[in-house]
Amino acid sequence: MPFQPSSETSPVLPAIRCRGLAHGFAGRPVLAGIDFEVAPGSLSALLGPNGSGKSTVIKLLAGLLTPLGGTIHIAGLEVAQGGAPLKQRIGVVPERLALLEHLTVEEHFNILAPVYGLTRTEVLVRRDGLIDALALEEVRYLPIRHGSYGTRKKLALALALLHAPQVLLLDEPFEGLDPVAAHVVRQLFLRLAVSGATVFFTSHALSLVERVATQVLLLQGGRIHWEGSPGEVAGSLESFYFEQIELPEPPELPWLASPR
Amino acid sequence: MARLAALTAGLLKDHARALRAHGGMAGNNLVLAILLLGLTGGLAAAFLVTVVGLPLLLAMASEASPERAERLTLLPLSNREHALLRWVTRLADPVVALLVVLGLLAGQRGFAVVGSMLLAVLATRVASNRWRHRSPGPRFQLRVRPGHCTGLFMMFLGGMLRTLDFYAALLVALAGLLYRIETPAPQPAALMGASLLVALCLSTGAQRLFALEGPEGLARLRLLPLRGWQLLLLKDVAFLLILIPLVTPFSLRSGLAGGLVALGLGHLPSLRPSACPQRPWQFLTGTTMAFSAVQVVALFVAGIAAQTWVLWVLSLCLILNPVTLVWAGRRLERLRPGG
Repeated sequence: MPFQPSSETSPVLPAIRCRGLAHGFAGRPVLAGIDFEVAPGSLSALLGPNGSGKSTVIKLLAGLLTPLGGTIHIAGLEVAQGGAPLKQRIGVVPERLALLEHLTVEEHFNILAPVYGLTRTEVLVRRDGLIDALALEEVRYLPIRHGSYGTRKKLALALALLHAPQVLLLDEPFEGLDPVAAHVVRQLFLRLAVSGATVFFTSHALSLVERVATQVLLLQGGRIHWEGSPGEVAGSLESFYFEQIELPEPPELPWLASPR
Repeated sequence: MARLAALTAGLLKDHARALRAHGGMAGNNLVLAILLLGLTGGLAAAFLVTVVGLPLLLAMASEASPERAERLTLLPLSNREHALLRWVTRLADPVVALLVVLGLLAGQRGFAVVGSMLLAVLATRVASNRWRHRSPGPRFQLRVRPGHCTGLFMMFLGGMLRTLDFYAALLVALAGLLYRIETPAPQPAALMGASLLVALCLSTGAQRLFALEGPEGLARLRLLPLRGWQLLLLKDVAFLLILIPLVTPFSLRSGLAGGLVALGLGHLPSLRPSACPQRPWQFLTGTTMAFSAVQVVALFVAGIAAQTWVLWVLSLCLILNPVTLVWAGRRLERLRPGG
C-alpha cells in the first residue's frame, strides 16, 4: 500500500517513518511503541546500550521480523505489504550479516546480483568495483565461512550497496572494520547521502557517529529517549551519551589484581 | 595426571557429540525406513544399512577438527603430556573405534577388509585436511548466468548434491540399474520399489529445503526481491531435477508422484529452524520423527496408487502442491524467530 502522508507529517515524504512500533521477545517488551521519521538523504544513527532494541529495529525495518504493533513505511512503501518492490529499494546489513556460508566472496555477487535485475555487465562492473573499494581482492575466492569477521562484514556491506538502494539499513556497519575500510565505508555513505539515498545505522562508535550523522536517535527502555542532530549537543556526543545513560558501577573482582 | 584424565574425559565427550552430529539423522526418512525394516531383519535391511553406511563412513572420515587441535596446543602441558593426548585422541576417534570393533567381530577373514577401510579413512582424512582451507580458485566459481534466478537455482542444485541423502539415492539407483540390466524380465513391482526407494532417500530434503543455507542464509534469501513462493518453487524444481533422472529407469510415475507428495507436505516444515545446524556431506536431519513417518507413508501411498491411477494421482499432486507452495511462501515472507 503506498504511503499517504498525513497532515502531521512534513511535506517531503520521509525515507523511513515508524508509528507506534512495538516488539518483544518471550513476553518481554523490547520496543514500547516508538515513533520516528528519517528524511531522505540523511545519515541517521540509532544509539543505545546493548539489548536496547537497536538490532530489532533494523530487523523490523528490513522485514526480517514482523512487528507486534505499529506501522513502518520505507521509501513510500509499507513494510508489511512491501514484498519484492520494497526489497529492491533497501540494502541491509543485519546483525548476523546473513551470508551464505558455503559460497565464496565472488559467488555471493555472481548469484545474488542478477536477482536484483542487474545485467551481466552491471554485475561484473559493480562486483569488481566493490571488491576493489573494500579491499576484498585477496579473499575473492575464499569460502566466506573461512573469512575473518572483518571480511564477512565488508562482504555484507558490499551486498547492501550492490543494487544502489534508496535506503540503507545497517546494523553496526563499522564494527570489525580496520581503520582504512571504515574510512572508505564512511566516504561511501557520505556520497550516497549526497546523491539522495538515506543511511540508517546503529553504532556504538560515538566519535564516528558525531562526524558522520546528520540525525541521532537515542533508544533506551524501549523508547526514543532523545532525538536531534549532533550539532545540537553541547560538548561531545560521547559526554552527552553518558549523561543520558545511567552508568553502572563495575563489580569488584579482586582476583584480577593478582595475575599468575 | 589427574588433569590429563579430566582432559581425556572431555575429549571423549567431544567425540561423542561429534558422533551425535551424524546421529542428527533423527527424522531422516531413510533411517526411519531402515529402523522399520531392521525389525523384520533380512537382506533388505542389510542393503539399506550399506547404502547409509558407505557414504556416512567416508563423510565421517573427512571430519578432522583443526580447531580442537589448535585449542589443545594452547594448553599449558608438557611435551610428554601433549604426545600422550595426541595418541588418546587418535584412539578415541569414533571412525577408528568403529572399524576396530568391526575388525574384532569379523575375525581373521574380515581383517583385510577392515584394514583397507582404515587406510581409506586415513587417506580421506589427509586429503580433506589438505583441501579444507584451500580456496576453490577462479575456475571453480559459480559464474554470472543469464536470467535473474539461474545462479540461485544452480546454488540450490549444488546444495542438494552435497548431502549424503543424494549419494544414498544414487547407490540405490545404481543397484536398481544393475538389477534391470541383469534380469531378463524385471518385475514391475520391483521397479516401482526401486523408484520409491530413490524418492524415499531424497525425501528428507523435501522437508528441510533450506537446511544447508541455515537461518542466516535464509535471512539473506528473504532480503532478496523475490516472493516466498518463488524461492520455494526454485527449491522444488532443483529437487525434481535430481529425482526425475534417478527414477526414470524404474518407474517415473511412482517416483514422481512420491516426490511431489513429499514436496507438498514438506513446504511448511521446511521453514522451521533446525535444532542442530546442518552441514554439507552429512545426512539431512528431519524435522520430527512423527512428520517423517507421515511423509514416508504418504510417499508410498501416492507412489503405489500412481501405478494404477496415474492421471488422478498426478493431477491431485499438481493441485495440492501449488496450494502448499503459496501458503508456505506467505509464511516465509512473515517468518518470526523460532519459526
